[in-house]
Amino acid sequence: MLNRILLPVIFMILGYGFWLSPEIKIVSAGVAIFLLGMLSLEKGFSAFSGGMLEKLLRRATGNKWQALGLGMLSTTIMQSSSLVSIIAISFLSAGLITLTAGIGIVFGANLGTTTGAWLVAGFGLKVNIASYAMPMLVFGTILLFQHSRNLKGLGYVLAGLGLLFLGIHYMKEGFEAIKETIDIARFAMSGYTGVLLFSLVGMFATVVMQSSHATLVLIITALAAQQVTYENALALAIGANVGTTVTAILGALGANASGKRLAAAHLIFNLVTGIVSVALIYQLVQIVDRISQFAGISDTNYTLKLAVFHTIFNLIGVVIMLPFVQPLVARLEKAIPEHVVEVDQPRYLSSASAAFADTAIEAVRNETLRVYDAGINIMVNGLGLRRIERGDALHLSVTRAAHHESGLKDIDAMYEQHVKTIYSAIIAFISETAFSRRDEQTASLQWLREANARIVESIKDTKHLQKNLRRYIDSSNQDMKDGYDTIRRHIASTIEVLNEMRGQQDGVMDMLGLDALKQATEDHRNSTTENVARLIGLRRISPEMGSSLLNDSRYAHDICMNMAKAAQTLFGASERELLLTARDVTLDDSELAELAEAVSTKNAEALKTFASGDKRES
Amino acid sequence: MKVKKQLKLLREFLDSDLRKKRKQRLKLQGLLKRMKHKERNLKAFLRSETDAHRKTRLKHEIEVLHAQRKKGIAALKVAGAV
Repeated sequence: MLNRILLPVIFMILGYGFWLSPEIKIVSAGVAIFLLGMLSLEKGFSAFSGGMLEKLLRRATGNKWQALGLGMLSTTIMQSSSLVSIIAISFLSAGLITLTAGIGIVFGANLGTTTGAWLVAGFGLKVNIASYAMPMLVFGTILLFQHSRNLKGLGYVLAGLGLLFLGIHYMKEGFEAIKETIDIARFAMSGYTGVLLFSLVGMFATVVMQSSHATLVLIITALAAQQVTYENALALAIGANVGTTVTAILGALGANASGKRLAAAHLIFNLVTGIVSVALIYQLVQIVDRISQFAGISDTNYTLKLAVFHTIFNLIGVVIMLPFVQPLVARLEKAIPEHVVEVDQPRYLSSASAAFADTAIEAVRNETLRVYDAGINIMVNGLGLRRIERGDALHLSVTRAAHHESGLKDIDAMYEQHVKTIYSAIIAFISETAFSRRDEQTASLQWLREANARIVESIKDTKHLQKNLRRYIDSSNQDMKDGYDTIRRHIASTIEVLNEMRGQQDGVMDMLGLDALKQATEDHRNSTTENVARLIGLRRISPEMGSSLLNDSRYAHDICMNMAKAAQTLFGASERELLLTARDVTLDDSELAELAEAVSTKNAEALKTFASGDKRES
Repeated sequence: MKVKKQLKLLREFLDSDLRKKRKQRLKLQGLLKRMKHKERNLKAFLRSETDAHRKTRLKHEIEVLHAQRKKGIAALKVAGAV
């Protein structure tokens, strides 16, 4: 909603500015190049994640001082507090670091951003920064074309730094030129009204640019060109610091409770720092003057004094907030509670059921049936199948679930919620009880363990299948859409047949009947392979599409086979002893393949005879 | 002959493994009978079925059941030879 209004407004303001003055174009291009550089830098450092960066951050779990130092160091190197905050949030969400360590890193990152102001004010404005940017861009771009991940990452970092420097150069040039035509400084305001207003402007600019670093560089370059007064620049810097939390809050909206807590801590830290700095701005200015005098910074070097101010007010924030980290953690944990997802627990496995072999087997069988039901449910929801109520039998239809309100459901989440705990409990239960039983009973438990593994395998295969299904469920290529519909329909019909057999409770004969289902699955896979080859030959689908369809038909084949095999172990419990005998007559994979081959040869011969009969008749 | 049969029974009584195998063979025989019965039923269904899709499904079922029976008969022969 905000974006829908904000974006056109920003476009209109910028368009008006470009029409008004070509210099505004240069400054805006400078900001754009700078932001592009930030993105490139973030991408470059992300390429190195998975190694050094993670190891470094993991060590920050020791204490808050370590975390603080690490946050500061990593932000100084990467010049992006948002990247460090994002990594901290992801680590916190994964449970690799504590909230205390996360807060330490974020506080440190805030201190680390102050080095950016020092670099720009002390180095960027004094030398011809663009001359450094050019070689960086050239070398960086060459490295971008390399295959090695590390070299590519280095390329992004170099190109990013080059773009940052170039952006600063354009901002500097732009403000110098603006000085000649328009005097923005006439909008300067003094007193607390000015401080508050410019704080808001700084905040707004940071929300729009999504980078406090970019805002700060803009402020420094404008200050160097005397387009903004020193007092107003300080207020803008305070506002930028508060504005940067909006980015973190937006980013944490989709995160879990831990991520939200860290974003809240970030907001509290920056708000407190901002309020204290606004309230004590004139006292802070005096402190900055004294420090500058002591450090040998001239009285008129406002840009360096701004860097001193930026460092001091962030330091004050850390000094104020650091003693309150533990109470803050406690408050945040209370205020933002963890959303606990109810996970299905085992119902039949207990020490009482483990006491006797028969009860143990029955308990595992009942629990496995729950895993089986959950597996079927995951397949139905994960593949966009809809249940149709028609009598007692289960009927499934294929939906365009991508546009359906519920969509294709998250298989991982469903697995975690309905299967994982029960499956783990079954494995543990079987491992603890299997060895003390007689051979037949141990075999029954092993088969049940195998049935569980097969159901879980089917769920994993469904997850793989879902990936391409999302892509092709509404494809513009009708053949691909049909191909995936056929795959889904086959799985749906397998589930229907399994359900029907379970309902009949014809014990051992059901179990034997499942071999026919397995053979139908073999046939389906063979016909899909032939169909894909035909479609590629006719150029109706690309070879890449064909390979996706073949891989996924293999997944569908494995899903159906595994579920049928699991059902063979689970159904017909009333005749358990006979089931052991029936295992001697069920067909294995090679026998099923042989049978499929024999049937297709027979059909081909029948077709030939039929055709020759037709010819003779004609 | 009578003595021979009685000796065989005595041997079976004393040998639990042999007893078990005999029991299994009997179970397999019983199962094969049920399978044969089901195959006949399915064939009867096939003759009266008019729906093409169901007809194909029944044909498949009969073919698989037949293959299973063949496997079972082979297993029974092996069990009988022991």
